[in-house]
This record gives sequence, C-alpha cells and structure tokens, in this order.
Amino acid sequence: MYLNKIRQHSRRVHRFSGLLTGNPVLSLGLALPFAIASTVSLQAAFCIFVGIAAVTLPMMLLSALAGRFLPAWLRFPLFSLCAAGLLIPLESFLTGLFPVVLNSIGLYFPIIAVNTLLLFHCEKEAERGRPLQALLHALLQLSGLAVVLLLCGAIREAFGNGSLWGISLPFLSYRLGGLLIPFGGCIVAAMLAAAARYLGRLLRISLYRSDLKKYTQTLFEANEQLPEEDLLAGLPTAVNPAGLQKQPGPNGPKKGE
Amino acid sequence: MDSIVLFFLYALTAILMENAIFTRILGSGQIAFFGSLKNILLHSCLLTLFTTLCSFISFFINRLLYDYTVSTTERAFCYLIGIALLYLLFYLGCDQLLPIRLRAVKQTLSVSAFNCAVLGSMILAANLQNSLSSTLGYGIGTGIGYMLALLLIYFGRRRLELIALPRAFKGLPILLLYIGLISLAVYGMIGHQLPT
Repeated sequence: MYLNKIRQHSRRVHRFSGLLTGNPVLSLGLALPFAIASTVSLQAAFCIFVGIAAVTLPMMLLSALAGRFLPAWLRFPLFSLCAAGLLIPLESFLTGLFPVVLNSIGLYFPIIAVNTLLLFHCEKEAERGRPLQALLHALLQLSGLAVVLLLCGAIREAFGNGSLWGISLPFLSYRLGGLLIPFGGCIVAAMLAAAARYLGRLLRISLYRSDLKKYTQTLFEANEQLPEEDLLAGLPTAVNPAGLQKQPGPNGPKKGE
Repeated sequence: MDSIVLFFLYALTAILMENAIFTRILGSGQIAFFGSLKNILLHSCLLTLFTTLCSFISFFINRLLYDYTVSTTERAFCYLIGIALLYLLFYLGCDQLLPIRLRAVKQTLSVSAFNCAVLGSMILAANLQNSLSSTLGYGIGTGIGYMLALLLIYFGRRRLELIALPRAFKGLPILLLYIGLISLAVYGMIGHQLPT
C-alpha cells in the first residue's frame, strides 16, 4: 500500500515531538503538579511557565554540552542546584510584576527546580550530547507545555472565578468553585488529554482513509478492462472463489466426486 | 509526652489531611502513573527515607535562617543543598558498602531524592511549630502518605484497565479523573483549601 500521507504525517509529527504529539503533560505525564495544582488563574499559569522556561532552556543546553563529561550520579544534583540558582533572581523579578500571584503560587515556584520535565529531558540530552538539537527539543517541549498550562489556567479562571487575566467577564455569571481546587485541575487536565488523543487519532484515520481511497482508485484504473461484476476474474485461482475448482487430495478424488 | 503527641499528630495530618498527592499533586510522575508494583514500592520507600532524613536537615536549616529574612526560593535552594549532600552521602556510601544492591536502586534513587514531594514537604514543614518532633512527624507522614496514595493509584489503575472505556480516555486521562475524585473526597474531609 502507498500510505504516503500517513508516512509524511508520521515524519512531521516525529520531527515536532512535544508540540504536535508527545506533549510533556498530556502524553508523558510530566510537570503535572504545575498543570493541575498551580494553574488556578491565567496569570499564575503564565508565571509558572516563565519559571519553567527560564530554567529548562539553559539547563538542557548545559546538559547537552557538559552532561557527557559528568558521572550519572552527579547530574541530577547539579541540574537541580543550577535550576534553583536561576529561580532566585527570577522570583524577585516576577514578584515585582505579579506580587499577589507569586504569593498565591507559594511552594510551586521553588519546586520548579526539581520538576520531572527538566530532569527527564536533561538526562536524555546529556546522553545524546547535541546542543542545537537539545535547544530545539526544549523549545518544542516548552511550546507544548505552554499550550497546556495557559489553557488550564484560562479555563479554570474563566469558569471558576468569572475572570480572565484579572479582568472580570460579565457574560459568565455562573461560577464553578470546584475548578479552583486540585479536583478541578485533574478534571480539566484529563479532558484535555482525552481531547488531544481523540483529535490525533481522528487525523490519523482521515489520512489513512485518504491514502486507502487513492490506492483503490489506482487499482481500478489499472484494471479498467474488467467488468464490474467480475472484479476478481483476472486474479489467480487461489484467491478467486468464483473460479476455484476442488483439487483432488493426495489420495485421489473422494467417493461421490 | 508533648513531643510524642505532636509527632503523631503531624504524621497523621501529613498522611491523611495533607496527602502530598491528593491535596497538592506533588511528586506524581511517570513512576506513579506507569510503574510496576515493585518500582512503586521501591520508589516510595526511598522517598520516605529521604523525607524523614531531610526533615532533620530542614529543621537545622530553619534554625540557621531564623534571624534572616529569606524568600521561599532562597530557602528551597538551601534545602536542595541539603538534599544533594544527603543523596551523595547515600549513593557513595552504598557504592562502597553495598555495590550489588545499589545497582538495582540506582535509577530510582535519583528520582526519589530529587522529587517535588521531598522538597515540597521541607518547604511546608518550615511553617510548622518549629519543633523537631513536629517536623520529623510531618516528614515521615508525607512519605507514608505518598506510599499509600501510590498504592491506591496502582490498584485503581489495574481495575480501570479491565473496564471498557472510550479509547480517548484509556491510560492517563482516566487515571487523572480517578485521582481528581479521590482528591475531592479528601477536600470534603478537610473542608477548605490548603495553603500553598
């Protein structure tokens, strides 16, 4: 079979892993505390994303450059400590812009230094040792993370608090307080994960069907001389049930034949 | 006597009312959702060991920083230095004394030590009564609560695999729904949102 479209789709998806598929939160289950518990508002989600991005990019670059020269048991402590060191000035900077939001985020900001997204990918890039690829991979993963965090934050703030980025939405009069607790975050994340999976599968099925349609059309064009009622007439006997004749067995034809 | 009461009180609080996974979704990662029973038990035992020992470290760091005004991130940096030193001590000590056993736990050790639940419990313990027994109780309770939560998630995951679910919900989505419902039950028991 040709399967050209689906092969192109697989190659494209593999190249942009993290953004199109392989989302760090929805597919790999990384950075879940941040996606579920801390995204009670869009501003909080933005601050968390800035924190994760500010530590992940330099750390993945560092791990790709120097990770191979470090023993495996030293990588995790070093990456975590460097990430925590980067978070200290960033916290001061963000506190100046979003003081109330940083206070509400609380312990979820400092624990960015030990988040699974950072440590999992730094370990992988340390094994590979390619800085440019590590940077690209980090950008893709962070893009996927940004989509999830900002969506979760927006949905929970809009339907839980009736506002967006602190601006109240008058057309949303009914508020679901349950969205502002971790239960609501789990529900929103679960629905997003299911939606992403469903849409991905829908796209693959549509590409497969379009490939199959193209293949069957080509097959009919090649066998144009055959009448429509006897599509299988040109095929060998073994696969042609209409033309199949009973072959005698090794002991000769049976009684009654 | 008061110390013993405080110890058990904070341990029970950390196990039930302030469970690391169900109230704050700390430490939930790939091992939690996709690991086998053996990996889960090993990971949670190591995590309990680290939360217990790190609670000692956090108590002494809090004492040292008592007279200084430090932000949460700066305090967390000091805690991370303590976690890193403990991890290196554990790793190198086991490498010299129990090299064969260390080979089996090597991968899980780093994930169990540098975990959101360990650092989170140290940060949360800083808000407690500043006594050793309460900090220690909270540390041990966090580890035990984490282990019980992972076991609950594991057995729930096994039952969910037997149910006919829509394809889009198989795996992580249904597990998140399951955790969310248990989280709602714990929230109903507490009655209010926990401080971060």
